Amino acid sequence: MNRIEDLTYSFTLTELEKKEIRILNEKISALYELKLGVENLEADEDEKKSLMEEIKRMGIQTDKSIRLWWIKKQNKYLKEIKDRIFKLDYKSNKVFSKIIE
Amino acid sequence: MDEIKMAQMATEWEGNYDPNSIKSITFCVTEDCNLECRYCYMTGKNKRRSMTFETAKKCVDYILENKKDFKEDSVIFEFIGGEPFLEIDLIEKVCDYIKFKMFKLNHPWFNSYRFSFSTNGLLYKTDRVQKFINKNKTHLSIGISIDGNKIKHDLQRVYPNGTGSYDDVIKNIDLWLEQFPEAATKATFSHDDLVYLKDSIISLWKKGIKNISANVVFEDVWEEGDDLIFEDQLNQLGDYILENKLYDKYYVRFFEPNIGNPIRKNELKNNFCGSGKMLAIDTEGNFYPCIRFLDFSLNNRKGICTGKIGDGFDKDRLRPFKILNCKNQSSNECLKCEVASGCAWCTGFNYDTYGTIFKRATFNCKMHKANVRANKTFWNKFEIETGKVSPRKKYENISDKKFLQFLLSDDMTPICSYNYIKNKGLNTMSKEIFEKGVKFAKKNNYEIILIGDIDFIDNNYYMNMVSSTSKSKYIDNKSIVIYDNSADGCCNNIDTCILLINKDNIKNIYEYTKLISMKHNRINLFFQDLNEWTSIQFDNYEDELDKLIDLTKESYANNNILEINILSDRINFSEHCNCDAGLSTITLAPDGNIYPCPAFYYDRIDTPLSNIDDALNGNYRNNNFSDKEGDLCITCDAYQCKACKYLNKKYTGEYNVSPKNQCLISHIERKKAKKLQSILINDKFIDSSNLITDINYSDPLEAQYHEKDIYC
Repeated sequence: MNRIEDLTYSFTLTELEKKEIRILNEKISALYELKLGVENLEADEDEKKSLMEEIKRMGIQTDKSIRLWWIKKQNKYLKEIKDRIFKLDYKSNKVFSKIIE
Repeated sequence: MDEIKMAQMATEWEGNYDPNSIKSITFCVTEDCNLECRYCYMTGKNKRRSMTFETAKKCVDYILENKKDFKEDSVIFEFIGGEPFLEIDLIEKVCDYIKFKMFKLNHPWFNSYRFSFSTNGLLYKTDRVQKFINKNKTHLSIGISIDGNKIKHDLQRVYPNGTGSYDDVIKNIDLWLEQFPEAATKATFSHDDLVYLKDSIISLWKKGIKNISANVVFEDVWEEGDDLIFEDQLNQLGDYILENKLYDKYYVRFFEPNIGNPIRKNELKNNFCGSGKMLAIDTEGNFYPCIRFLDFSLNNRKGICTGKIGDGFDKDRLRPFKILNCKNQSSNECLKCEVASGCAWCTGFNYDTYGTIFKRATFNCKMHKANVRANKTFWNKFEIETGKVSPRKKYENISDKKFLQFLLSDDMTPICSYNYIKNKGLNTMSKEIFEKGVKFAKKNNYEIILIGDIDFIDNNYYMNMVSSTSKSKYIDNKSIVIYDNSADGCCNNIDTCILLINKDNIKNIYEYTKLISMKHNRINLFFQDLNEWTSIQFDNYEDELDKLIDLTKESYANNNILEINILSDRINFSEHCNCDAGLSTITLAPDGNIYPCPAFYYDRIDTPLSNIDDALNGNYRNNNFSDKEGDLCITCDAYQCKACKYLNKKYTGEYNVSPKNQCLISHIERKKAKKLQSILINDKFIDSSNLITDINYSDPLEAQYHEKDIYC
């Protein structure tokens, strides 16, 4: 994992943008932690299997939304399309970014 | 300013939407506990009652399926005991079910929830607890209660056999902080352990706990002198923080900078805590306004149950909580308290004490006041030692402040519209009176202003300075320098000065002001004998004001703006800012008496307000001073006028009615301020808000009574 300060480029998000990405990230982590609890539910195996599939589908969809969101910000703030790693410092709204070699 | 860690409140999770829209739902999963803390408020808890999964599941279903009763954007599900981790298997199952249910219902809380725990930490490292933490780590907030150092912690937080729990808890702290680096602990202090306060807080910081939400208990446990011990401990802690520059690393609630101001109007409608807005659920599935209203949390009353699983909420029982606010549960004394902000109370404890939620228990009043004194001392010293602005400034209104002026000797240059009477003799303030004055000021929340200089004062006193000399060892950027009918003796780096003018020097006003303006950005002009002015002085004054208008305009053009009170204040003010002598400013004189201002000491036209001994004993009277404007001032908009209380009393016999010369001079200034405003607007230096209007009188008495002839 890259440390924030190692990442080369930086830009600052608006409060609204920070909220948007925070909610998407929250959803991904909530889906992951929901998945870890499925075994503990009082349900039969078919129901659990169906739930896992639903979580997976939602996870893929949310992950895609996150990547699209970052591409939009990349276009807005960096004006170049390349694969990047992004790290958001929630306190300052500052995003640190690096091109993936 | 915001980067000072000590000034930053330790905030809990603020949700992903509106931080003011978070529902707090508390599950009391067990009444059992592996400790028997001596100060625990859950006096009726026992080992038999624990929540079943079926009860918890029904509660979760009710909450998540009733969005109309739970409209908040975000939610915190809190698990409490007893000791909640004794029921970790149940909690894990409930949390898994909550996540599942939110997902299935596509509930908005799925994107904005937290699970929160208050634990004694003894089971923190167990496999079952760690498995739960790893499974839910991005949605967890865990607070471990550690009271301080070993001796303090073990006084209160003990096992059923009476032995302390410190050594067992402390083993788990490293892992806790590794998993939650910004975690906070709550440290509570009571009569028995106050003397360990400083060492306790430092000990917690040394263990790596950066945020300490410390407080004192609300109960009626405080004894005579406890407030002084508390203040002393806080002062020692403050000195330690400053010596070691820890203000950028750590936080403790006692030094939160918004403590100790009056309650603002907009705060009266708020409640101090969230009782009624939150929901607490006992082991049987009964609802309560908060955990402190459960039966086992109360000593003298039955719990207030506001609903139960299956029946839903009892809306009538909730009504009192819906209207509960700061105003309707506080006494007049609390509402008028000058240092009210940050004073804590618990609605559950109030109910337990008085049987109603609309009456505040105030057993901790003197402890809060001690906290305020130490808090102010700390931030004042912070300013002196670091040269940075105190974060308290952000929360203070100048109109809230009170000042005690120390007139240190008879031969001090006047600081306002009066004369130093030279044949009066030469008294200087004794050290004894000075120290009594400092004690009175601290006790009654007055800021200290020194007028003059005296040998025995050391720099331990935080204070403002008014001095006529540039040689004083205490002059700093908070000081004010006085020029007495001359422009000699400038001090650099001091923003504001006073220029005293007697009737013989009116023709020199421009000359003095120009010279002084090279050293100061604001000049306050005061006239010493204005009731002796005749038409000659009035004419000369008008001429001098015209020259000051040019000088001010020039300062705007050079981008080095000069403020002269008699012109600038009328342009800048939107209401009167009259003399506050006898109200928010009083003066301690060398004779040990308290006067409205130094003028009343030099010229005894009224009895003193008090002597310092009586004042210290609480016998302070204010000689009918009133903060309402005099009838003349109500009709007047010469806002720059000070309406000097001394001149008023001396020449009209009333504190709030000005003599004619005061009004005439103020209206000349008003007329000239209007001229200056017009020039500055034309040259686009200022905008055209607060325009000064035309009037057809020079004395407000004329306007008020239309009896011009009688008074001319």
